[in-house]
Amino acid sequence: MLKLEKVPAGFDVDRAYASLLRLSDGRTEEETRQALAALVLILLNQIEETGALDEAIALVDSAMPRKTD
Amino acid sequence: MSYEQSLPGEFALTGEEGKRTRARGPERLGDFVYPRFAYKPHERSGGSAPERVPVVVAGAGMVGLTFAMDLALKGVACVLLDDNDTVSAGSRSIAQARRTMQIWSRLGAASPMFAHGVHWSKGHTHYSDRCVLSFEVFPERESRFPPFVSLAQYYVEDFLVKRAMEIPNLDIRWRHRVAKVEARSDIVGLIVETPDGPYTLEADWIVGADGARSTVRQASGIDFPGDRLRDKFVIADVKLFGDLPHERNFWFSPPFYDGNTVLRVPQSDGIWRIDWQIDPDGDAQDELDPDVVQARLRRMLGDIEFKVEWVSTYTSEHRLADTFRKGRVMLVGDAAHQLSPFGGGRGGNSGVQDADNLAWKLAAVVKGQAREKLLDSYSAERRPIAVRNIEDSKLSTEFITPKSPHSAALHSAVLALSGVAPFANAYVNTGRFSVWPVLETSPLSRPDGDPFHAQGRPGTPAFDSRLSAPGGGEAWLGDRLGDDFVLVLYGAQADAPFEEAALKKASEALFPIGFQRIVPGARAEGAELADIHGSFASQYDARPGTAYLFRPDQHVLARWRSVTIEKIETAVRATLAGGETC
Repeated sequence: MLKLEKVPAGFDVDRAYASLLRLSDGRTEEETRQALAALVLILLNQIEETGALDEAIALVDSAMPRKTD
Repeated sequence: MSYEQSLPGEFALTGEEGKRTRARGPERLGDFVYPRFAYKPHERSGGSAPERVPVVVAGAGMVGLTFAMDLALKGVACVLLDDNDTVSAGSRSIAQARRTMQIWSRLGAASPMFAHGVHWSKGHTHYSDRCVLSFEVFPERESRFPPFVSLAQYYVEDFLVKRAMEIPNLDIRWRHRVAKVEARSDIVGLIVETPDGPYTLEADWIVGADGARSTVRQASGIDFPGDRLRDKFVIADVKLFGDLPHERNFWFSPPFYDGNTVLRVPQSDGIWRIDWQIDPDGDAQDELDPDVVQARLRRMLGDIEFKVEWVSTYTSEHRLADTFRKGRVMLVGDAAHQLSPFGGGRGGNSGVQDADNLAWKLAAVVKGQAREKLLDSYSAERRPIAVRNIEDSKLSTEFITPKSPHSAALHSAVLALSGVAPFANAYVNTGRFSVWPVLETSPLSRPDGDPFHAQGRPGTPAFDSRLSAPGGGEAWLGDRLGDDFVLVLYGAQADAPFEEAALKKASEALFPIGFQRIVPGARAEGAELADIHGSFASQYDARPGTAYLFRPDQHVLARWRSVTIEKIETAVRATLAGGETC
């Protein structure tokens, strides 16, 4: 099981949290869950890159469905 | 064969066609005309004692035929019983994998299948209205055969039967149904039912190749636990009158069938296998209404003209026998393990691999060349592979039809990202294709004593290297292996000296052991093969003096940097003792 012992150096927790919250903007609960699943996928594949989170969130934000009605 | 026994699941034809099919099977499917194999009444012997044979195989499907042919070709008399008199109804197992073709090639049955089948290696996965993934199956392996030959099971079985009828020692009895099996410590007793009444048959061994509802397995008290899946699909063989590339296509929620999945795979004779998901809570019979089928296909195929040749529905089960051997009873194919059809062609192919694994072992035991314990290695080697196949099949099925909110979220996330972010492509799972697995749990494999790359380790199926034969023609390593143990020695005599006379002596004392010498680069001379492309050296981490000992089923048994006759004899002797060191 993946276990993060400590937050990597240079990782801005507050900004990351804010980015994560933005993922739910305009999305239904189901869509947000899917977006988070996608984010986990990305991070598991880029876990050694500390700068991956912003890039991953941007990718998910653009690729995942967003309910507009 | 029994039309309602084998995977993929429950076949339920409707109407008059359904009644006729269930009674005797269809008359034709596309260009294929169903054969009717002659029933022969049982000839009763003059005395009161029942007929006794070395081996009975129950079920003349593709696995039972493969096993019985292999056994008979090895000189063991075999009776093959089947309750029907024709071949599989509907296309069923269509993806005949490279390894399966190699096995049938060894049995002399592959040529017509190779010629008649469709060869494909490319596929595409679609999500909604976009293609998210295009792939090529196993492009890295060089082999005489493509990754898959797409050929319907009825053709496969027809070609196998034609070949089987040429083989001495093989007695196929159509419309002879195994009704009762009683396996004791010294004998197996059977009651066989025929149109002319039942008769008693005795055998030293029985092999159940009689499908998921195996009479042999049930009579032997071997449990078959597992799960039945909720999902339902329509399966159809459809003739398409259009020029479509021979490629596999899988759609998730396409515009022409929103919210469901569709699979389309080419077969021979212009027929395509088309599967589509249906409402698990709906009435499957409604989906088989010809008007409904026509309407669905029309939306899928657009302007392409088509003709429905065969249609049915199925659900799937994942089941695994507790053991593949119990005393004098052995199970192969669906009788031993049952998969959903989204196992990537692992159902039929893994059954043929079961047959390949067991046939040489049982032949060696019957002929007194090996101890009975060798048969235990069949279950020890093949059951863990069935476990893995079922696990992989479950994962594929879960991705295709997610059952929990979490897997649904993952499914949607992966499909949304695939084609956009390349890493996500690896998570798209429409069935992990059948592979020829390493026998990781084999009690027979000899551990490496010399340093080698992991690739080609004992238990590994032979890579089919392209070589040059004496005189310059093309030769394939796979054609030089099988039936006997084979020692493959890399290097010219000057660099890798070896006395073939000693090997011949060991062959006479133990078990036939063939010999192949492969020389690096240079042109072959005498009986040598030349590794002119360097593929053998690369795939087998070989240098002059390297030797591989292959089993009769073409798996690596042992390998050495420097070989002696004593090492070979020890490995063969231990194998024939079932893995025990003598």
